Amino acid sequence: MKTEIDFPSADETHVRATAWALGQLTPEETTAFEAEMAANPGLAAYAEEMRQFTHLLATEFPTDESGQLPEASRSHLVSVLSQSVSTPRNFVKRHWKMLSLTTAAAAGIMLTLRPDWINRPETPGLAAGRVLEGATQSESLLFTSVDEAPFKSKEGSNPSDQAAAQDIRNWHFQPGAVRTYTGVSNEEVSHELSRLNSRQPNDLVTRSAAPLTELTAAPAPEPVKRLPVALASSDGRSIPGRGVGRGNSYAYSGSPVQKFRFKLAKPQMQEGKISPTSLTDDFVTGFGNNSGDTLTNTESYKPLPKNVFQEVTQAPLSTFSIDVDTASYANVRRFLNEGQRPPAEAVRLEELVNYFPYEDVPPQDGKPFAVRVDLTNAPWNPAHRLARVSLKGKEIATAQRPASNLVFLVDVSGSMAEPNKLPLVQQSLRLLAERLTENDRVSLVTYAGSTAVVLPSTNGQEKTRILAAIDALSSGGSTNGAGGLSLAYQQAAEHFIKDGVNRVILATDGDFNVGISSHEALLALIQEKAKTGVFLSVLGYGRGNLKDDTMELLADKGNGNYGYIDSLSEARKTLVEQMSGTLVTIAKDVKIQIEFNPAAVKSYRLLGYENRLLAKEDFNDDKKDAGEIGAGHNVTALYEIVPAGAPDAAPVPVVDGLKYQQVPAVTVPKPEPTPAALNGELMNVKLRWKLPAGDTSELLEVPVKDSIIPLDQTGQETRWAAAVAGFAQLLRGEAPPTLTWEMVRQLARSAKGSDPLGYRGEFLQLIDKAESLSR
Amino acid sequence: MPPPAEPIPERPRLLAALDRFERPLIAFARSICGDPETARDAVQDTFLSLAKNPPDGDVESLAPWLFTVCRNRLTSLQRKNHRLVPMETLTLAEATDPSPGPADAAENRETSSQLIRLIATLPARQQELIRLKFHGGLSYRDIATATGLTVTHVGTLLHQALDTLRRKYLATEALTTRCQLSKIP
Repeated sequence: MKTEIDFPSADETHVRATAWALGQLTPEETTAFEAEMAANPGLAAYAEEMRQFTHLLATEFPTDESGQLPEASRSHLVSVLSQSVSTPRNFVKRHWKMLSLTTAAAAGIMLTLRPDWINRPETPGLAAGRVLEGATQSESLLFTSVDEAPFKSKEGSNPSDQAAAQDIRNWHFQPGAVRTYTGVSNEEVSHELSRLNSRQPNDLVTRSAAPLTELTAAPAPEPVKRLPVALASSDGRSIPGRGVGRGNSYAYSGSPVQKFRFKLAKPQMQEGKISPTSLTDDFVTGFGNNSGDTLTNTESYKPLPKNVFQEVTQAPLSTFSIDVDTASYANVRRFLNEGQRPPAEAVRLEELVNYFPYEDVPPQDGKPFAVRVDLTNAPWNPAHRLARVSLKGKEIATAQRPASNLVFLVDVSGSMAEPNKLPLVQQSLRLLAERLTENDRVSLVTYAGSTAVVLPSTNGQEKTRILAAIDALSSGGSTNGAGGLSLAYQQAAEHFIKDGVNRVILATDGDFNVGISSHEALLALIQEKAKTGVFLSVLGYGRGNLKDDTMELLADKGNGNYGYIDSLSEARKTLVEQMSGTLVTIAKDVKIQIEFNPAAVKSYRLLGYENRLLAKEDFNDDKKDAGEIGAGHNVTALYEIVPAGAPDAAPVPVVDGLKYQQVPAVTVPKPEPTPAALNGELMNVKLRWKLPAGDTSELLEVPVKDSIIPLDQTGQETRWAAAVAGFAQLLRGEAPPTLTWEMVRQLARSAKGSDPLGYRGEFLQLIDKAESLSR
Repeated sequence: MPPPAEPIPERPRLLAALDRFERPLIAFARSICGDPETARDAVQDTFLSLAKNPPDGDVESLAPWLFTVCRNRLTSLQRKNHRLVPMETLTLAEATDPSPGPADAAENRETSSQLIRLIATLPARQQELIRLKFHGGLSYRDIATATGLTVTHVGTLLHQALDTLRRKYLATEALTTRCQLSKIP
């Protein structure tokens, strides 16, 4: 065939014809060109042809099919764009739930103190005035809540900010309190309040409650104007009362927020003053949304309340389940590397601390794990003790691993079609496949719209078959997590290895969106299977869609662990370096109960493990499920301990004395110290665990003498754990005021050690990133 | 309580920009770098910049800004990736003519895919301008801003691109028709 070679006709007239066809000529040029066309039929024909062709192109030149961003990146973008507001960066993402409520309370208090605003709603107190107007229907609700708030009646600032702040937080996390607000029938009130809130920095919640009290009690003539002033004083930084007035965040469809959509007049900006309306027009937020359905970022995290100081006399026992999950660290790292501060709920202190391998001595006495307790000064408050309770699981060399029967359940739904999802799953699996031996069996089940066994149980030696099956994985369709799960369990049961490791390993981005998605049904299945000896581990991949809480729960119920895989090196860490740990459970239902000695300890605070706390009765209850510890695993728990007789922050009266009633003084018989209280012990650490196949627990007690080693002389591992704990508290925005990024950095640097795997070096970089995002 | 007038919302504007320009930007970026991954990265970065420093104006007027940022981002990504940046040479382009053969033409009768295929045969610079024009909806002036060319140059290049495209399109159309006819017994 003769090919036709096209030489473009580039003369000036034809260029203009194209411009005309595209409507790019100025009106004068158009007139001139049309006159030219009238005189030149050839040109007119050309121009008309070109016009038709450009029209064709405009209608028939589609953007490519593949031309959309991957769903996860897109939802990430949507959330970022949604939050493009004039507030300090990433502020909105953090604590917005808490903020809403805290300041809702503050606003409620303003109402109680400034009833005269009603009469001048158009003054600078407009916002408050509006709140008041709207409050009529819901006043009682608001006031009830306010009455519960511990700071309501204090005049001026209270010296014990910290405790008050904590109380506020506790209060906020009560679901009932949340419902109080969502249930407010006058939508505008809640909305207005929530808008008000969004202007305030998190410091208000996390560092100090003083500004709140100051604000609420101040009989200021222009109370709303005082708001930013008070805020500025909260941590010495001034907070812009009003940003550029751009970037309002609005509720997106499908969220409960939408019904709070609220209209507001344009803000009134006054010279040198903060107009109250300007405080309110920036942001809309939702209430009571734990399931991630607000906005379009579908990552979901459960809110974590903060563990507060407990008085030993009132709560001598601290009981919790161990947690060897490390997913939170990888997730936090992902956020920071993307230049975003992670939501506070995504930062689980214990998971960050437990991410790092610690060079503690493994057990020598045949027990599944060794326990040690180190005492040092709390870096952020040298008068307090920091206790590091560490469990080191016995190590099993990879070569001595018991036979494993592994079923990989791989999510191949459409959402997995991203480089950091399915391809990374495949890479992770290849890494593991290479380590399998003739003792091992592996099968591969995929699930999407339908489920399939793509690799029936295969001996670990048949690497070619295994690798071929891994390579053949491809994504498409929707997700039915539960259907796949039952098939995977079936596979595991068919090839059950007695005394071996029988485990289903679920690799997903967390989307269980078709079929049996009821949490309860799913959890019941997993728990039942765990009893039969088939455990479940969950590997989380990708971003934007991560159901962090679901996945953690699945792994917990399935006696397994949950890892977040964001890179090949993370896959190597989780699956290979720790393969023996990830796969071989050496003890299950491991619980810790610590009894503090009131003769030595005034109060204490458990750092992290917020969602692992157990009732004290659960400790001896063998039916209560708890965490598992794998071979070589480290589990670290940190306590901040206020020694008896230490200068304490002024005690906070929980409620003031009643004005109109006199409660007869009740004399509570003071508990008599036992002789053991005087033996110089600080606390008694008790551990309960079961062997992987056992049903009854064993008990181990470790009394701890009150012998403190100063921070700079204490072991490297303790200093490292302290640094990570400091990092997590700062990142969650709930650090004690004396804790700084610099302190964390110094501490971490001093404890980096040889760091053969590079984890600690990476953490040092994260400190810098987190600090820059926190300014 | 009657609510007062609604303020101009910012969030819908930026989200609308995402909806409006996501695909055009990706297509545009791909036409420049040829690699879907890099293209997506560049577009992602572009919208992240948008979130950080949104310029004024309505959704449509964001186009030149978005395409300019995307283009700059691509350039630096490509530098980083040590990929070849397409040469801006008309002469080279004019010598190429991968017109689809009759068989191909028969297989791809659909106008859209034919157009896409044809546009892919244009020199990179011309593809870029066509996408800016037809996907981005940019004016000559906007395109000039986005690409750093003069408005006149944009006009000339776009004319050349469209003229070539039109001829090729008509040629393949004719071919297709002939093929179809020849198949009829």
